[in-house]
Amino acid sequence: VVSELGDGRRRVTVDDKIRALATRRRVPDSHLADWMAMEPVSREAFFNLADDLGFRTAQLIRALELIREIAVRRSVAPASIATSDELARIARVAGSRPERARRALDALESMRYPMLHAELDALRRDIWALKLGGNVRVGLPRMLGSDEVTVSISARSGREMARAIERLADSAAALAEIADRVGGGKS
Amino acid sequence: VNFELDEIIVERGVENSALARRVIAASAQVTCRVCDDVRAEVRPRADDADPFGAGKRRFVISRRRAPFLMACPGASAQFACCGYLVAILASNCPMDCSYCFLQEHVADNPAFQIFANYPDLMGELDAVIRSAPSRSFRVGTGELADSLAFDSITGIARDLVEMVRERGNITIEFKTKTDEIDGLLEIDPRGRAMVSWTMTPTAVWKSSEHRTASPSARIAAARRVIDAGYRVGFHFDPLIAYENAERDYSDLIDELFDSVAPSEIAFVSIGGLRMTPALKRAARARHPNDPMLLGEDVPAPDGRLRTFTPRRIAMYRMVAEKLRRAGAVMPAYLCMESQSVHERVFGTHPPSAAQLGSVLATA
Repeated sequence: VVSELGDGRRRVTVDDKIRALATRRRVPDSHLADWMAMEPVSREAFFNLADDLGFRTAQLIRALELIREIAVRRSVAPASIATSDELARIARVAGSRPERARRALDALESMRYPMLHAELDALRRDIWALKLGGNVRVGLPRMLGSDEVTVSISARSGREMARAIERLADSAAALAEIADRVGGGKS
Repeated sequence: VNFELDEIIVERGVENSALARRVIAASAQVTCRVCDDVRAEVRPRADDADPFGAGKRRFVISRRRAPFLMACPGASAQFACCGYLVAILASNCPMDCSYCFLQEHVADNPAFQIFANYPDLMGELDAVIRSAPSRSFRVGTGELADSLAFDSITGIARDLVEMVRERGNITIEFKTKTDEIDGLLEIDPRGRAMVSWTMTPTAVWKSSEHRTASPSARIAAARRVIDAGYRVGFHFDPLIAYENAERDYSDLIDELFDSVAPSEIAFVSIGGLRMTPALKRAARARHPNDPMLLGEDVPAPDGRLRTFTPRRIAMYRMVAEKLRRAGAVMPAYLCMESQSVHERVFGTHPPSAAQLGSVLATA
């Protein structure tokens, strides 16, 4: 919608602001097209979110993808995601803009992948509870994309190594259970 | 199932083939023309808003220059495979599943092609039989097209059964999402042909499998071909992990067993939805509002996007366990999954591709 001011000057519309932000942030044309394809309420809501949080380019692109996908998954308009209580709360909390942008993106990832995030959180919590020490690392597959769990030890002495192995041995059953959970349960 | 066609294009040289004559006779209301350069006809057309979708409505009858028979293109050293052979008798498909790999695979030649010289497949099958006379082979025709879509006008399935039933060591598999089985009912397969269906819950069918037969219609069709002497298989592939998926797949298995006894099923395959990033982009562009394309999929070690591992394997195990509890003794296998996933689901080391292939061909 292009509207004219009384003196012949053109009013700056939300769409103009979106295009300006996209240019400033070098948003790819395909993503800008996706943004502009949203209904007006949603594209304005996403603009406000991106503007409030000062998304960097990669964040803006990812947030746009996530919001569109969450909206399809939930059968709602993207506006209802962009203006959700959770994102509004993050936008209001104290802290730097980059920190709030990061937290907003994390929140969107959790909305998009709720079961994955719940599973990852539970696994991390249980690994942490084993108190294996700073030199033992249990590595979960990235985004639980495979069934392979790794355990690594870093040691600078035989004593450190022996202690780490002892702690691992004490936690063998719990670690086996974690490996089974990553693989969908005990076979 | 009825499909719409914009035109029929016949390559010069095959206009008098049995296939062309049958198709033209059965489609009097569709414009038909002969062409000299079939390659130009199968390409995407720039003026189509959806060239892939438009290609589905362009029925091209041509001669295949390449061999018909090939090893399953999904086979890989990364996976525990089933020794499947595929026969390419057609390319693209009049149905339109949102997750279909053809959206990427035949994006550069999207017309719906059927090859008039398909009887030449028999020479290739004979060569395979001669090369390994003690082995049994399962050959599927549903790789680049649905095996039975348009069969009511092409009559190919009936021809193939007639040709294959005279040969030992070969079982031909018609893989379909249709209920176009009437042609098959006219002929006794003598144990050499099977029909298999993709099994999806109603929620997936409605959301993603456009112009296919409903799950109930597929099950009813399975009942009819069993009664006509065919073996049947079911592909729980792709399993799609949406909210309530476990409940819906469980109900679907119950519905299947209400009509088909486990002892009447030759095999079951199980596989999760997997998409290359390029396929996902193509699929999302054509079906932007299908939530089934937006599961909790993550990059897997093979580069494809798959449901994150614990959820995916838990779903496989739910299906395998449900089949086991029903007293099913039919072979079940995973498609395009690793040996370790196979072990997690079935608790055993997978057989070799050749072994499993023989078992499935004779099941």
